Amino acid sequence: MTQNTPLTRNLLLNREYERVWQRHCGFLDLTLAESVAVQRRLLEEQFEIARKSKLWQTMFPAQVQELTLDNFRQIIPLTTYADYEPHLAGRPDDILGRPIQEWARTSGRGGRVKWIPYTPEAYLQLGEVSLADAILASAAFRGDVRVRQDDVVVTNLPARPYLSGLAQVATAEYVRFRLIPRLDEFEQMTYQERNAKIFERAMVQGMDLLGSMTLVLVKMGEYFESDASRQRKFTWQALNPRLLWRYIRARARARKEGRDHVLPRDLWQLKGLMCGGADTEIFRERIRNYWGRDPHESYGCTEAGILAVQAWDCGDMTFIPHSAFMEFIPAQDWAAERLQGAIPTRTLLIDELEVGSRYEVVISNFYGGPLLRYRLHDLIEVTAAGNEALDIHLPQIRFVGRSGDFIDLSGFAGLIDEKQLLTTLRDGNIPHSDWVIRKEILTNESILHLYIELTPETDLGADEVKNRFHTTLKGLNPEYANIEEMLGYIPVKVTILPMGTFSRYLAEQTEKGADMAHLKPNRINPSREIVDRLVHSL
Amino acid sequence: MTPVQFLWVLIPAVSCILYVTLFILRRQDVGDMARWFQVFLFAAAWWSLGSMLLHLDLGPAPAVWIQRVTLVGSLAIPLIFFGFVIHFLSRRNLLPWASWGVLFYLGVQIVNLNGYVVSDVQVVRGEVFQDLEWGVMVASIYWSFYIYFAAFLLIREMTLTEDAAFRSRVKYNLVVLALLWAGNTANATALQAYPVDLLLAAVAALLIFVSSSRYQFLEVERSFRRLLLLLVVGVTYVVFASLSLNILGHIDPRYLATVSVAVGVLTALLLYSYPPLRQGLLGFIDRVFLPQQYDSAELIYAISRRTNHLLLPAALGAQVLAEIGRAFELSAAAMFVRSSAQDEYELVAAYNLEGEIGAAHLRADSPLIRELSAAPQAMHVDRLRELPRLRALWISEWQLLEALRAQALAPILSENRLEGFFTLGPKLGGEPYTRQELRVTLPTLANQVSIALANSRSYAEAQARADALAQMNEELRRLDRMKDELLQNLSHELRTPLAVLHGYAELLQDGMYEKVGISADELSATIMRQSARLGLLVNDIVYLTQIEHDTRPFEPVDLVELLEACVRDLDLSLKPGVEVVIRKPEAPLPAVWGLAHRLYQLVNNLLDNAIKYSPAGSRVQVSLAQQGEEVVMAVSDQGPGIDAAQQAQIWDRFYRGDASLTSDKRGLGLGLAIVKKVIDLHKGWIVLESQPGRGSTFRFGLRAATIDLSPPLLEEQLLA
Repeated sequence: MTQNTPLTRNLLLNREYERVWQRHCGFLDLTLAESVAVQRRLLEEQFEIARKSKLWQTMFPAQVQELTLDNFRQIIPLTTYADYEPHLAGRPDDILGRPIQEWARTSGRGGRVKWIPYTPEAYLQLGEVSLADAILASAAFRGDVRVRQDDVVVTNLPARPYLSGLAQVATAEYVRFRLIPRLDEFEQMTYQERNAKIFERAMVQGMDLLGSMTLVLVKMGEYFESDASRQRKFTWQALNPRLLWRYIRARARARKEGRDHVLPRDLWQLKGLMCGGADTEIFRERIRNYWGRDPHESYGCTEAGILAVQAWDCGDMTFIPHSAFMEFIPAQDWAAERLQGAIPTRTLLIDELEVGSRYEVVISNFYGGPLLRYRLHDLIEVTAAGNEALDIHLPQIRFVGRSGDFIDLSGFAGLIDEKQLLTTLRDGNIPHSDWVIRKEILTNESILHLYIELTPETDLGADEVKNRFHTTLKGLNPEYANIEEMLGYIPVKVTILPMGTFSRYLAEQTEKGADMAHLKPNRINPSREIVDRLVHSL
Repeated sequence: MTPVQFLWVLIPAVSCILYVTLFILRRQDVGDMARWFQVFLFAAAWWSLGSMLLHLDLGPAPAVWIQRVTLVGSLAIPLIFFGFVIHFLSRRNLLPWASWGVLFYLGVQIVNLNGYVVSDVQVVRGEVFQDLEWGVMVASIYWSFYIYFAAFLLIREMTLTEDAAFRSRVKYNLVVLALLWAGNTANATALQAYPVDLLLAAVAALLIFVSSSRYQFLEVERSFRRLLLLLVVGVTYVVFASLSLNILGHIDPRYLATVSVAVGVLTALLLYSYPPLRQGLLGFIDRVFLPQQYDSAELIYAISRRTNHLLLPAALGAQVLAEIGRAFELSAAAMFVRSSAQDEYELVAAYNLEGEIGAAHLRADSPLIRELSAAPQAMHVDRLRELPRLRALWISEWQLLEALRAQALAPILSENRLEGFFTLGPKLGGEPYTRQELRVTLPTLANQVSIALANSRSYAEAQARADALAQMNEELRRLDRMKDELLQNLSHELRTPLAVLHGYAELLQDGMYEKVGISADELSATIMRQSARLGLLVNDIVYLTQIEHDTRPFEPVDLVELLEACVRDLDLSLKPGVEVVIRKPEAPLPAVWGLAHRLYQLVNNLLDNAIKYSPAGSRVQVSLAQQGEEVVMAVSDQGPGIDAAQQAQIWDRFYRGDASLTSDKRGLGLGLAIVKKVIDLHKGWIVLESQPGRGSTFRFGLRAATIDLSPPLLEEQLLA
């Protein structure tokens, strides 16, 4: 793949959809052996390119010339960003064996901002896979390409230098979507401005594909359901014929279904809905109800782009073999490190994974990228060896969570992840606006301290919330089920936060100019300082 | 009803049936473009039906109203086609123009239905006479705006797009638009050539339908061939109908229509069920309408003529590429062939790439090679980009394809093994490679070349074997000569001391040595000396064979000490007047790793040679120095020197150089061979700098014993 590669727009113009599918989604047809062969060959190329780079020659001087496919796992240790930071933080232009097209950064949610260089080939590959995500999000069956050259794509994901922004720009190399907002505007607007404007414009221009954070979609849907949506102020824009026509048709659709309120799915008949967020699974049904489509997820990271995508059934995800070379640390080793500090040493390859097991993902970049045996600290679970129904013969995975998204009670209940907590709150019927949870020590006892802002109409006390939470979590987590017996007490405490706590926090952070990662507090183990701010919010 | 009047009714009726048929046969997976086409069919059917009713003048409504209602359909055509073009070009941002067009259209219809376009219509014996008002100008403006806007968009796209296949489709659309324009213009002008506009609109609809039914929407080449074939059916029908009318005169229209349809259907059935007729017709269409720029058969013949000659791959490739390049009018082409080592494919010939590409190769484990090995036909490089297995192609391999300007790849297969492949660049005219070329022409050429390559490879192998045999023969002859020389030298070298020994032994035996003036001491000394000389000669021969098998561990050896010992031991009496001078640095030199006695032999032989060939009164200089991790010794003499031709051979066993210079010198020609062997044993190096008349310098280097290593690691170190 080189810079002369993009041909997808010609294929779409020529209506050669089979070829578009094969180009972008053809990896789903590979066998496991073919997938491994692709990975190995690209890694071999990566060694040829990167062994000449300043970065590797500085980081691995003794090993770099000896690197082969057979020995690199023995002679190169597992790495983290701390190993690369001294070389990458200054964003030098000549650090890699290939020219650098762009620098991407992480949100900093994990505590430090990471800068990752993308070569032209890695950048194009990111665009290719992003388009694959859009194709799969809108497909109904294998080979079904519904995206078109001038589809209207709406996104409220962050602009460059975040990965989502880079992916959007890279996708434009392949297809000339009509973007809302336009690419030049997109990069000038703040996140809040974008959120405010995109749906207004989509009322006029329409929307074929939508990429968004899950929570935003849910909030939009709730807004449409609420009375507030019917009390909007009049604006002259409302007289736009296309907007009017769209609204009239939406009202007609809503009436047909016996509703007096319009939902987003009445206004826009989306081809595809791409979402991101650990809570997507929790809100799947609501999103389907609001937006008329199942949310389509992918798994990726700034360090390596998009690593896995769901197929057209929006079920489990399939790894993309040409995104990065993947190794996997067994969950036992990952947990041992977390609980006992034992550094993991062994890794498995993609053809050695076991169904039902969890693993931490380790990647090595292709296309001249910087990272080698880099730990992502993400946990995935292998759900199946393939998908028979869809005729996919590659391991199926689901994303479990990031390292920081787990909380433990000193090993008594294993590691509880954010998804489990979200499910607990949902299944326990605890209506809430938002929450955070911390592991605390209270009179020498470890507890999970839940700080939660309930919805205005909820009339539950802290004790009731605690009981519901504890009971529901016992049902979801087998290790937690016996905790009361083991510890002799219920290791949960609940503090009800005042109404509007999280909104005020968001407003304060926005005013301070905090970046996206710090607009809201981390749900799992936020700092004491943040918790104090929340508690004393009024 | 006259035949012409009959046609005025028949054509709109048939058109209407056609539109309905096309609608029924439409593709079910309807996209936006197809949806606009369906609306087109509906409007055209409305128009045709209205025209038919108007000319039949059957009632029930007044003709003027039928005409006005007919205009509702006909005036929708340009707007609908404009919408169709927007979706074809994926320019939905222009949909607002279509939206405004709907308003414009509604306005025109208000004008039309109020009688300001056609105020009155009279139908006289099937002929329509109409009075037009100012509204026809409004309708014309509306019609022209959307037809010309559509034309503008198509022409603009045609000039901008680089994709040849898409350009072909745009041209097709322009043909369709031209038919609509021509029909309406013919009717709107003084020609009043009704129902030409209806007929051309029907042809336009048929064109779109025929191409869409093959999924390759609106591709000229594919659809055109089939359309022409279908037109044969139409022409047959028209010819039959005309002939019938001419011959039979007045004929019941219903009877004529029934028989005509029957004839048309029969013609169609015959065409599609009798392949030779169909192929013949398609061949005729190809020859007349779609001629290729080259004759495939001639090209294949030209290639087979070239490949008939036994040529090495490079020459074969050059000739084949020249033929293909000329025939296809290529901007570039190249040929790769599997190397004899089997692990890669090398570039052996290039066309129009001279100076741009040097040596190039692809590894045999490249996914591109695997793909080509399994490909039964040539393929577009674009197709390769789409294959998921080809994701594993390296950046450098893609760049190679780009440097070769490869647009198509044709494998050269022999017994299911990839012997090589062609890379073919873009055609100078910009046309894409046709399916015929990829599936038939290029694979056929490649098959010819594969046979020639197999022959060429056999020829090259035979040639190489012959060359190797010739070389071996030459070597054997040389060795034979050397053997003769050796035997000569050996007999001379051995005979001389043996003769002396024999002579002195006879003297001893006869007791006659005192009578000839030789003392007993002198006698024994001579016998000892000659015996020793004999012994040395035999030792040299044995020594040479022993060196290669010496596996004793190395030790640090002081070269300075060794040199001094050597000089002391030299029999300088053999060459009076030759001075040996040693130069060494002031700082002590490190020892070298080696076997002392072997290194002694080495130094001794060099010194011996230098002294042997130095004239009396000259100087032999020995210098020592450290260079990096080596100790370097140089032995220089002021002898006759060695010319360049002989310098390569001086290391050979028994080689004694120019006989005129060496015939009087003792030795078997083993001294320098021993020197070379010792150097090789110690993993050192030795060079000779010499010019005739200017003496010679032998310079050698050995690893300094500065590394503190145990013997096994030392060997690894020295071998690295």
